[in-house]
Amino acid sequence: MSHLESPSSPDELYRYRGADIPRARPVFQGDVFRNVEIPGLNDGRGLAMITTHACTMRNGASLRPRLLMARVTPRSTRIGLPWTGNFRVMPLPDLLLGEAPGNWVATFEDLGTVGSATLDLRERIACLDDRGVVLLQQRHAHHVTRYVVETPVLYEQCSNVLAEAELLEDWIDASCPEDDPHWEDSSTKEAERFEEYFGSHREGLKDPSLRASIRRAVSREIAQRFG
Amino acid sequence: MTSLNFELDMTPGTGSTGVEAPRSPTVTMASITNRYGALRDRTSILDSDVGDDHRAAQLQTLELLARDRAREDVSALLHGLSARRGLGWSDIARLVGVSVQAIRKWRQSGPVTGENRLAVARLAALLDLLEQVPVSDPAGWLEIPLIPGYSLRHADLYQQGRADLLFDLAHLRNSAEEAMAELSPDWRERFRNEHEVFDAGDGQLSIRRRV
Repeated sequence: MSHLESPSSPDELYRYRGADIPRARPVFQGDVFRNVEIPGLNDGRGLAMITTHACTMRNGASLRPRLLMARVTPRSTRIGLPWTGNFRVMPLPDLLLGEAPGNWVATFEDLGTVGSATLDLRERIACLDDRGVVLLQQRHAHHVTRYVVETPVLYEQCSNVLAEAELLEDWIDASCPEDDPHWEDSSTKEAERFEEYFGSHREGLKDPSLRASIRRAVSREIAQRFG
Repeated sequence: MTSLNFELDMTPGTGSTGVEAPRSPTVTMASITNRYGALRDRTSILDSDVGDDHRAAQLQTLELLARDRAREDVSALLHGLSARRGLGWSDIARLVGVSVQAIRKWRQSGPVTGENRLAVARLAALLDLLEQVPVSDPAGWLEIPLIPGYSLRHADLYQQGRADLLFDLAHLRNSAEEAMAELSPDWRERFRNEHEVFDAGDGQLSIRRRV
């Protein structure tokens, strides 16, 4: 396969959109935030997407201090499906579903590092699903190398990290109720507890045939700890 | 393969004893070959007919079990798929044909259409049936590729509406190559990965061109 791939529908890109994105979802490659200033662009605050690779954005339970983000802007013309050309952007059709019709793109030329501590989960408006993440990786890698890697291989490379993010989301979901007034402190502590518990499973997640058994083990642990 | 069990009597007849001369070996071989050929054609047709009927019966069994499982609460079905089976939420969403966001709402007892309820129940039923084959860890089995170096996973067959191929694979009634060829005659070109993943030595995986 030698061509950039395309989703079959906009819905295929997104894991969550809109107001009900769970706070428990770990910050991840492809997340879109409002009100982000990207140093060096001198364009004020606006929408921005995390482009730092999923495998390198964390150090243990913590986000790395700086993340690479791309400016997200509206676009007057729709990039039809299947996507062709438009190599400098990641199309984000129907990004603000139910809020504002239209099309947005993340532009790979409008990049900068943003302090991860400045990202506010209440300003997160979209999270990409696994398919969306690998399509972003494929387009971004092509932008900087003019080389195409097929998305199933990109998925194979990061599927362990995608699976771990999902398990961390389940852990935080079960341990930190959304209405907890101290949610941020609680979730930070629980992320550290997850890290302590999960360390021995991390290597196993690289083997697809072991993933289901690891998910079962984590589910049992969550049930034991949090009922 | 069973060997052909016959002997050729090469003793010539006397012509005066009334003993019949043996048939020509050539004629004997030809008739046996023809009979085997005809038998093979018949069994091949029979195999095809029975195979089609068997697949239809398996899919009907899946549907009946799905309707039975659909009587359960959807959030309980989803919890079972995740906690008891070990499927990831992204895979559940993909195999049911909805977003993770929709799955999350259903987990919290949000409204579900009858069609989606049945789709969740069908996935639960699929894993039940695979376990009976037996596939010891059906969710783990669904995640692995059919053939290393090709991008199709067992779960992809189900997503593409070919649970019948999945059942045949689980029962060892067809090979992975046969299943992929039935799904797509150009599978070698369509699903082949030109790259491979390897351990980069820093605890992470990396990608390189396949040699």
